[in-house]
Amino acid sequence: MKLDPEERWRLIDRVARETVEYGAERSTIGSVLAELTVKPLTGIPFAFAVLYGFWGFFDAFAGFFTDGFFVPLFDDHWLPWIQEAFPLKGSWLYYVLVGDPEAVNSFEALGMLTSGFFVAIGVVLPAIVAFYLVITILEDSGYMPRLAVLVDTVLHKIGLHGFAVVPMILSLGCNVPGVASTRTLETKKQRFMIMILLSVFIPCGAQLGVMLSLIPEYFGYIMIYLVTGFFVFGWVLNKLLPGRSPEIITDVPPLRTPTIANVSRKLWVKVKGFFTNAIPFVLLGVGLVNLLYLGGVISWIANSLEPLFTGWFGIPKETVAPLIAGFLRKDLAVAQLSAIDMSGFQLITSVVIISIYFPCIATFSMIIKEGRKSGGVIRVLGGGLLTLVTVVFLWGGLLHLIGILLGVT
Amino acid sequence: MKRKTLDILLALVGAGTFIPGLLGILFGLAGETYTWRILTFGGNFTLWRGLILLAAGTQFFFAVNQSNPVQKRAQAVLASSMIWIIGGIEILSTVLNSITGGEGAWLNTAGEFLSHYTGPFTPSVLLLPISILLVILVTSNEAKND
Amino acid sequence: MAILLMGHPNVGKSAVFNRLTGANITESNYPGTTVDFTEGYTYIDGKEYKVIDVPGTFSTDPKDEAEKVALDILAEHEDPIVLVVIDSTKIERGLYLAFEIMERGYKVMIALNMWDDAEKHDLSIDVDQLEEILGVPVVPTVAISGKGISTLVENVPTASRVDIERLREKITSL
Repeated sequence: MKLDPEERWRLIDRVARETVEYGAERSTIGSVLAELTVKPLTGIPFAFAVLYGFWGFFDAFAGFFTDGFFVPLFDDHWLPWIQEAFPLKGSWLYYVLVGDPEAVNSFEALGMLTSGFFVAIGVVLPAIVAFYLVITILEDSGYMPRLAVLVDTVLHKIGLHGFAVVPMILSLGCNVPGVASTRTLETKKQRFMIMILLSVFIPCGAQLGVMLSLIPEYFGYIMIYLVTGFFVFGWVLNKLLPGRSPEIITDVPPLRTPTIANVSRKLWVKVKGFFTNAIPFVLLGVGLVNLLYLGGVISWIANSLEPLFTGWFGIPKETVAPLIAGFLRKDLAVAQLSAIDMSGFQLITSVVIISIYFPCIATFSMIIKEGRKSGGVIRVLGGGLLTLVTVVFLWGGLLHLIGILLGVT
Repeated sequence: MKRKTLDILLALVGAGTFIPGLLGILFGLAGETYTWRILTFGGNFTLWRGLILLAAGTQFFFAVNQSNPVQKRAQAVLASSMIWIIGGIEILSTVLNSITGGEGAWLNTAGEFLSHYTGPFTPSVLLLPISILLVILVTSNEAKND
Repeated sequence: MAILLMGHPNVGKSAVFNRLTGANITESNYPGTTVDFTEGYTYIDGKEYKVIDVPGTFSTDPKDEAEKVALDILAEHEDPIVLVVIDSTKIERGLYLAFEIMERGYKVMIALNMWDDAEKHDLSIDVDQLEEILGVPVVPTVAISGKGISTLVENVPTASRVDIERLREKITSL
C-alpha cells in the first residue's frame, strides 16, 4: 500500500519526535571553521590559499620527478642507448619508432619509443599523480562543495552555477571525467555550455605538465588568455542559448579529515586508468604523425593551410603536424611544438590554438556519449562545432592581432 | 588563558603576518629579491605569497575583533592554516630540490643536501612554527573549557 | 540474493559499499544511460550476495536519470534486500526514502551512517526504539572507519518487509 507524501511526512515527523533528541547545538572550532570557509569575507581568501597550495604542490611534485629524474634518465641514458641499439638506422621503421638519430633531448626526437615514452611516463605521469592526489584530498575533505558555493556568484554571470566548478577543476586533470561530470548539472543549457567551454578552453593535466616543463616562462600568459576566453565565450553562449540556469541547491557537508586508505585507493584507480587509456594513445599519436610525415600527407596539408596559419594566426605552417597529433593527445602536441623553430609569441599562439582547435579524441567521444543526454548528439555536436570554429577563428585571430598591436610578432 | 592575553597574542601574530605579506607584495611587484639575516623575499610567485600572507594577517585581526570565543579561535585556526599552506609548499619544494643533484647526478651529496636547509627562509616558513604553537594553544584551551 | 544500497547522494553509500565488498568491484554503465553504478559481491554465513551501489536518489519518483536507473535496478532484481543508507544528521529525509521503499513491499534494513557526525552535533537517536517502531533492522554505522559494518552484516538475514497499515497505526498511537 502507498501513502501520500503528506501523510508520509506526518508519520516520519512523529517517529523522529519519539526517537531523536536534538541537543543544543554546541558550536565547536571545527563547525565554526566549516562555516568560515563558505563565508565570502573569510572563505575567498582561504580559497585563494588552497588554490595556491594546489598549484604549488603540482609544480613542486611534477617538477621534482620530471626535471629531477625523468629528464636525466631519458636524455642521458635511454635516448642515446636506443638511438645506437636500435637496428635499421635510416629505415622508415627506425624513423617511426626512434625518430631523429641526432636528437639530444627526448622532447625533440619524436619517435614512439623516445618522445612517446618520455612524454607519457616522464612528464604526464607525475603531473597526473600530483593532480589527482590533490583533487582526492579536496573531495574527501569536503572542500569541493565549499568552493562551488564560493564561486557561485561569479559563475552566475555566465549562466552557470557554482557546481560547474567541479567539472572545471576535474578538467584540469583530464577533460574526459570533466565532461562526464557535467551530468550533475540540471539543465541541458548548462550541460551543453560547460561541456563545450571546458573541452575548448581548459587544458588538461597532461598538457599543463608538458607546458610547465617546456615553456614555464609563457605559462601564465597562455592560462590567462584561455581563462579569459572561457568567460568571454561563456557570457556570449549564455546570451545566445535559450534555457534556464537554476539556482544552486546544496548541502555543504562538514569538513572531514581524508583517510589515507581512501585517498590512495582513488589515486590508484586514476593512475591505473592513465596507464590503460592514455599511454596507448600517446604512442599511437607519435606513430600516426610519423607515418603521415613519411607519406607526405603532413607537408601537403601544411602547404594548403599555409595562408590560414601564417596569415590569420601568424604561426608557421609546420605546426600542422602537432595539431594532428593533438587530436590524439594535447600533451604530445605541445611537446612536438617545441621542436619547431619559432618566436616566443608564435609559441604562445600555437599552444593556445592547440588547446582550443579541437578536443582530443577521448574527450570528443565522451562529448558524443554525454551529448545524447543533453539535447541530442546532433544538436550538441552541431552547436559544439559551430561554437568551436567561431572560437578558434576569433580567439586565435585576436591573439595574432594583439601580437601585431604589441609589436611582438 | 585570559581573553586579553589571547587578543594581544593574536594581534602580534597578525601583524607579524600582515607586514611581511605587504613587503612580499611590494618585492613581488618590483621583481626583486631582498634578504635580511635569515629572512628573504623573492623567488617564484612572491607577489601571490605576499597577497595570501596579507589576507592571513587580516584574518588574525578579524579574530581579535570576534567576541564569541569559539568564533575567535576558529578564525585564528583558519588564518594559521593559510600560513601552513604556503609554508608547507615552500618546505616541500625545498626538500624535493635538496634531493636531486645537478647535471649528471641523481642525488645530491650530503653537503649540498644540507646547504638547502641553512636558510635564508621566506616569511611563511618562519611563521610556520609560531602559528603551529598558536593553534595548539587555541585548540587545547577549548578542550579544557568544555 | 541481491543487496541494493540506496540513499541520498553524499550519505556515504559508496563507503558502506566498499566496506561490504572489499576489492572485487566492477563499475558499469547502466545500459542506454550515462549513469554509473557499481556492483560487487559479499559473503554472509557462506552465502553469496550480489551488492549493488544504486545511484543516489532523493525519492522513488523518477525525476532525473539517476532516479530512473535506481527504479530500474529495483525492478529487475527478484526479491532484493534494500539497505537504505541514511545520514544520521538528516534522519527525516532518509526515512522518507525508506518509507517509500517499504511501501513498495521490499525487504528493508537501515544503516544510520555518519553516526559520528550525529554525536558531534549532540544528536541522540534511540536506535532500539526506532527499530521497534519500524520493524526492520536499524544499525548505526561510521562507514568511513568501518564502525558498525559487522553488525550490519549480521543483520542482513533479518531484513524484513513492513506492513504499512500496521506501521501507520503503530505510529499514530505513539
